[in-house]
Amino acid sequence: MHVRFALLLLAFVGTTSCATGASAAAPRNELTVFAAASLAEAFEDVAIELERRHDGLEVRLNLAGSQTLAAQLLDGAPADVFAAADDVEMGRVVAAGRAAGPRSFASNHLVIAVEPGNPAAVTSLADLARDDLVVVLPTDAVPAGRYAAAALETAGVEVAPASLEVDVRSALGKVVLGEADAAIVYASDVAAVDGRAEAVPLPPDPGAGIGYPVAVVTDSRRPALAAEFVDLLFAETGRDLLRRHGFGAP
Amino acid sequence: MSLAVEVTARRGDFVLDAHVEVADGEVLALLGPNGAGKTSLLRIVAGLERPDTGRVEIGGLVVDDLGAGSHVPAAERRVGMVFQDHLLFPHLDLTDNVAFGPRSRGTGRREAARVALDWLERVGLAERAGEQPSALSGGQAQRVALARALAGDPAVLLLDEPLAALDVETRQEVRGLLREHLRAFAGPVVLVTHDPLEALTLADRLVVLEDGRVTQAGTPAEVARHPRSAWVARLVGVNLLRGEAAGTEVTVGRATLTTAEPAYGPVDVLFHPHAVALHRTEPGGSPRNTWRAVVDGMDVEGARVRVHLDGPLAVVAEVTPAAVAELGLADGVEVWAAVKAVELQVHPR
Amino acid sequence: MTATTATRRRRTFDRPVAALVAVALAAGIALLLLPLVGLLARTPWSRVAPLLGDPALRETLRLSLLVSLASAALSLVLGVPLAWLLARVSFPGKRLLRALCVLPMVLPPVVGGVALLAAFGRRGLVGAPLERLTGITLPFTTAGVVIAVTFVSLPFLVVTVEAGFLGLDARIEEAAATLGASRWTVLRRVSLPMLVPSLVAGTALAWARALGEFGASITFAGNLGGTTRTVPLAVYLELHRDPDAAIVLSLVLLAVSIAILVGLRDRYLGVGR
Repeated sequence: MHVRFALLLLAFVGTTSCATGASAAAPRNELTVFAAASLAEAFEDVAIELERRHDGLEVRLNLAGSQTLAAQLLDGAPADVFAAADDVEMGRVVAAGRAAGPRSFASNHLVIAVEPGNPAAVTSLADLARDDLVVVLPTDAVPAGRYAAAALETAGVEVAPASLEVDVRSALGKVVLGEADAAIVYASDVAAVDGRAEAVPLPPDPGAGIGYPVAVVTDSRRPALAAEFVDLLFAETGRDLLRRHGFGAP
Repeated sequence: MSLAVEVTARRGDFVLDAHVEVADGEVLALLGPNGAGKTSLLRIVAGLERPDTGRVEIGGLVVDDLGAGSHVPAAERRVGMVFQDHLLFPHLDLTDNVAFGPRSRGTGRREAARVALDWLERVGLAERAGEQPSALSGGQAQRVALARALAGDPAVLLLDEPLAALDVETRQEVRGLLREHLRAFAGPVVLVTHDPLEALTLADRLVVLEDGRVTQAGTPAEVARHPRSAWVARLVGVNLLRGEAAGTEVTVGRATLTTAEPAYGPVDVLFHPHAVALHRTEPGGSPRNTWRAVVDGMDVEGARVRVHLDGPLAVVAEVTPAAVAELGLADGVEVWAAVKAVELQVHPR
Repeated sequence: MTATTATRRRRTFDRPVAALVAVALAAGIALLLLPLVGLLARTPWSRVAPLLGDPALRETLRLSLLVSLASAALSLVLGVPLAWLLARVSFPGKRLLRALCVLPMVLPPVVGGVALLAAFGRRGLVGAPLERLTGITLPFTTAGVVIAVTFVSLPFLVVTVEAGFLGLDARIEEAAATLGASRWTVLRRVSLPMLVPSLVAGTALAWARALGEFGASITFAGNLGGTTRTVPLAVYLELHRDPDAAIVLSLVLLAVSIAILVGLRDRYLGVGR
């Protein structure tokens, strides 16, 4: 219980401070990566791998919702790499000329997160309509929320959510804390909370592939290193790390 | 005795150890230098502070008895208290200020307002009844504070330096009003002051409190004539004569004094011992008041000598030791005493 | 002679100091002012009226108003006795209680939200038995928002009213006691009426803080239109979907905050006297 709260607390403080922290001008040996919040754990490992390869290099991760990152980039925030959880946000940044050549490096899929052991016996999207369940969804202001809404619509299920959480991690957090019985989140998010929630898989929906695109920021001051970071994601090492954190192949 | 206080109270290094009794209808002035414990004693009587040992009895009711461990809180004692800086309630008009006591003690709203108006009338402020305290001068505010204290029909009236915050002229006016109401009050009155004039002119009896202890008690005339400490001598050791004024002439017993300012009726005449000049032969010149007197004892206080004079007027003169030698003063020696008219303060009684 | 040299020396030291102070002043004012200017510069004025007419947005405003007023009332009811206790009664552990009362002021609101979940959540210390006994759960409800928001805004009232009590001449209360007033009567007829300015200021500050509360509220009560989505939540969510709407909502909050501060003026806030 205590660990749960501490974890959630860290997650919150982490996201808020990163989202609001202003990026300073990059000193010599620094690479700034703007990454969707759901990539946090995976990218930390990738960053460590790159830092291992370059003595003195420091990879700084700016983790937030894709749309927040896109807005920051469109406002001229200095960065080297942009990895989004959504083609739409990547498209906005590319269209504005801030990034070029996006490639999809990973995929994710939605699951229903439930408490360990699935005490509420949730087995399908249809169960989320049960009125004895407290269900939370990500708000449709973030990609996960839109995917979740689309999945529910496809399945023809009407859900009365208790809350539309500001991002996927918050939605999952409500399940981890026991405040909600179920939430629709990414498989990778459930993998990140180390058994404090369980994933109920959803039937694969060929229409709803969730791709993660990555691109080098056009005015990156360290384009070579940025390209190396991107390449690492496609190399065997990167793919391994991503798989371990619950992501699928692109 | 309708107020009896015999308490000790320790406040850090300071120890108050006092025994004071006041009869119904008696006005007792508690006189002493700053920090002597006067206000503490008053607050103990009011129930705002607790003594460490001893007992307090008001109107036959024991309100503090440390032996028995009993303490009646301030709100349940029938005291009326007037503070130095009036402490009127700034958010209430004068009527509600004065009606506060009666209402707190259970009188109905309408009756309390009637009582309040009656008291405002008695202190001459009835026409201001609807105003806020902030509209009043210091003297007026203190009159309302007196009315407020009396309107609650207290068993004992306590006044803590009631005139100290007022300017000289206002002080005289309020002193007159105070005298009137203190005389009319049926219960015991305790007046805390460090102003000898206030003590001498308002009180029936003085108690001098110095460093937490009673150092002297007696009528104003006794204390003024025989001050037992340097502090009392300096402040209270004035000549106080009671007489009948008719213009600038005041008859005191067999003697008649000439004053600078006219007055009528019963008066207190005050003048300082150092205003009394002594001569071996009849003095000429400006002094309007001269008389023959006989030396009746001398007290030496540092560089001054207080010379007690007997004769038509019992007064004290203060002179230097050199003057004593020059004039050859000794018990039984005859001298001429002289006081200028302007040195005499006349206060209507 | 010595005086002249002293003044002369001081003057030469003064000039750079004065320059530094001037720079600090300018930077300070710029820091406070520029965000407001930026907000106004980015306001889509032509869209203000239609946006304010949007039913979802109005629903959000209505809920925010309801929640903040309920919270201000709750702060008043809970805060005045606390302020009185802190100002007028001495007891062991008083410093601890005072620290507890201001803690939400310095705590990140999100942490407050997590703490509230630990206490009043479905698995919380109080929340779990509460649900078992009454079936009531607080998270995800409007009542939950009121509690979260009050947790954060209550200190503003307690601190302001406590200062009011301390500024009150205790001897006036003693005067009332000598006139036969019980402690309760003194509080009701003397202290509280004299505290009206502090009560007004404290309530308004608590209300303004409640109106702007985000972190504790979203953590404890979540976000659902018409139930728990207050204006600050809507601003945050709209920022990336419809920045214009976010700016218009921010403007509304800004206008209300300025109205409160101007309404209170220095007199009630106890500064600038």
